[in-house]
Amino acid sequence: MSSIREEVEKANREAVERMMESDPLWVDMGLAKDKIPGMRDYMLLHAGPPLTWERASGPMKGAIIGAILYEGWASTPEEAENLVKSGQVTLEPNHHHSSVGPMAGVISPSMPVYEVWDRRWGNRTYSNLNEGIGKVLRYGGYDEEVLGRLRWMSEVLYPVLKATIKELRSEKEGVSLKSIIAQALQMGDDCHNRYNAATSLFLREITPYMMRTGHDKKMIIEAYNFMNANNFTMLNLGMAAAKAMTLAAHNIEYSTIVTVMSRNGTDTGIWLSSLGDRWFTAPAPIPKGVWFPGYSDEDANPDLGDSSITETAGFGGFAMAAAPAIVSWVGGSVQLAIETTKKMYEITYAKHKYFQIPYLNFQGTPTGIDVRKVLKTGITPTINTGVAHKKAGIGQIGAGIVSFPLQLFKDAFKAYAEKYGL
Amino acid sequence: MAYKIKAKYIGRLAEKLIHHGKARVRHVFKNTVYLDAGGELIVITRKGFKAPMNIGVEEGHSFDKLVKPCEVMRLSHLRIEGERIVIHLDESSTYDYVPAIHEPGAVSVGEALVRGAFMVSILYDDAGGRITHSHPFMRFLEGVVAPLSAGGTIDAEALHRLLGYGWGFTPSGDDILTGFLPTLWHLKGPRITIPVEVLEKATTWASGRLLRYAQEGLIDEGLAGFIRAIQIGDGELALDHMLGIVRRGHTSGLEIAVGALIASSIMCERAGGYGVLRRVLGKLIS
Repeated sequence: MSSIREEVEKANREAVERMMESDPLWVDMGLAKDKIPGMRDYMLLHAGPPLTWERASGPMKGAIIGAILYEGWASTPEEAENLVKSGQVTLEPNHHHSSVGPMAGVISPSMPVYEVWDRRWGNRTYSNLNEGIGKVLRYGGYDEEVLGRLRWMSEVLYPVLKATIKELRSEKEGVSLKSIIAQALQMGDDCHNRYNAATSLFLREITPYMMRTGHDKKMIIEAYNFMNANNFTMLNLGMAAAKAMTLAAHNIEYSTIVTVMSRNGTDTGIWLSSLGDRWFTAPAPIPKGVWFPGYSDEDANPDLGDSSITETAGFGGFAMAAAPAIVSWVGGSVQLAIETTKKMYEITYAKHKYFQIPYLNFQGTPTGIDVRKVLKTGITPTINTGVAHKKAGIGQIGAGIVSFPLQLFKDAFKAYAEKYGL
Repeated sequence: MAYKIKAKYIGRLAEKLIHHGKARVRHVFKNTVYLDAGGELIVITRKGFKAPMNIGVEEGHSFDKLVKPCEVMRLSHLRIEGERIVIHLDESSTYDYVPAIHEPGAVSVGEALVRGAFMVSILYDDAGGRITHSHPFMRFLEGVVAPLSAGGTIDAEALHRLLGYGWGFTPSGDDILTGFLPTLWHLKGPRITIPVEVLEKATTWASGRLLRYAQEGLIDEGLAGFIRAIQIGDGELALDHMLGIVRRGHTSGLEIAVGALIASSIMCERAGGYGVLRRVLGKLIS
């Protein structure tokens, strides 16, 4: 009979191996209500752990209002607010539906979503389309400029992408997101807050198929220009890929590997592989950031977004040493970027087989956060993040770096000991 | 020009020892300096936890580039001065917590102690071996823990065999006793002390001082918090404090936790929590 520590070791090896061997492909587009399992009418998905309207932060409230207006369920922000308060519109975390969304991460039934399929393990994951930076829904914006962009994305970008992926799939299984991430990490991206290379690689791969879709030339050019002008085009696909990777490592008995880290602007939360979909939560911290002109840390909302799924999968902030230029966006120095990656090796189970960092002699990225190592060292995961204004309707005011609270890991480990230690 | 840093707090004992006026540097690490002030220990450290013998300082350059072993530093209530460093004390607070002596507040903390022992057992990295698998530890269980739980007399030799045993700057056996002796005493168990002359012979200078302070009740805030949580019967809080203790050193924190868990289990068992000690030891030894 093997000892508990041998069981833990075996489980963690399996979890991290499954995470690294996951092979997510972009395979389809569709409306959230048709694609996302469990998505219902009058339901909104959001980033992070479960949340009520009363506890929601400004940008989260703004995004919820915007999504309700976009759906046409209400015609004013006040009506929208009443629909949520009365319980007619329900809120559920993206992670309960194999989905992820950056920042507020709000996904409504009529929004188009990417579908990602894990060729190795068969899981399917979802994310919405990226709107760009500044005043956008995911940062709490909901005025006509924001809603107009969302409608354009639904009417122009979505059909072009839907036709593009259909055309591409006539030749191959889909777009390999793992391959794009692996390449982009060697081209100066961290694949959380810097997706410049990844977006270029993505467009290089899909453009020939986009041209062959037979769509109106004007639509194609508009769609291309929108994606090309937005370095975060690949963010949502990268996140869906990371969700597929971490989902592959989830629900493994005895494993102490973290499989979700996320924030909703009020709370931050994690899942542990062996404890299923049980959230461990603590107040979300405020990032240390670089502010857009006119803003400061006094304007900043506590951290939000499912995008920390990238660090959970072994890239993003964990691969900062691959992306020295990112410090101009999130702050700090190149040395800090390198030190951050080195520190993350101390709390992770393995070095990634496929994601490598040239500056560190092509070592694999730190992969598989082991809650035991977090508690033994006191080092908590560091992520790169965008920063939203704390008031609804304003949008992004900067970007920065934030560490997850230690208490989350303490609580998760105490629950783990309750399950396996008594 | 000397490098200047500020102290954030001064422990009660360190404050008293400053009266010596000077201290010799015994050991220097990146974040910690051990000073010998008339034979007593002052620890200058950037590490997070407060302790009576510590002077906690702000972040800054590595000490090993600023302080030399054997260097003599001048001590005053305003500052500590070395050849290349000045530590300003004038804006620091005082850490002055003295734990009360009180029995465990609830037998129900026994379940938390079992979970704590499980946590410690899987936090160990077995690459370097574990003291809980060693012969001196087994002797400690037979000669000290078993008699205490039965209300008998301890075998001092079994206690002393742990001194200086194991790995690290503070040997693992010392760390276990650093957790065990004050926890036992503060939970209204017997006050066991190891004679100074035994400590002097059996272990290193710094570790012997730390153990002596611990058996005199001069303990850090993490261990004090753990004991207090057991006294008020809050097992969850005790585990939170324990998870703070385990971070120290390579295995020092784990071993302090081992000692504190065993002592707490003995007292919990004596208060009617039957089977707790056996279950805790089962987890620690497995």
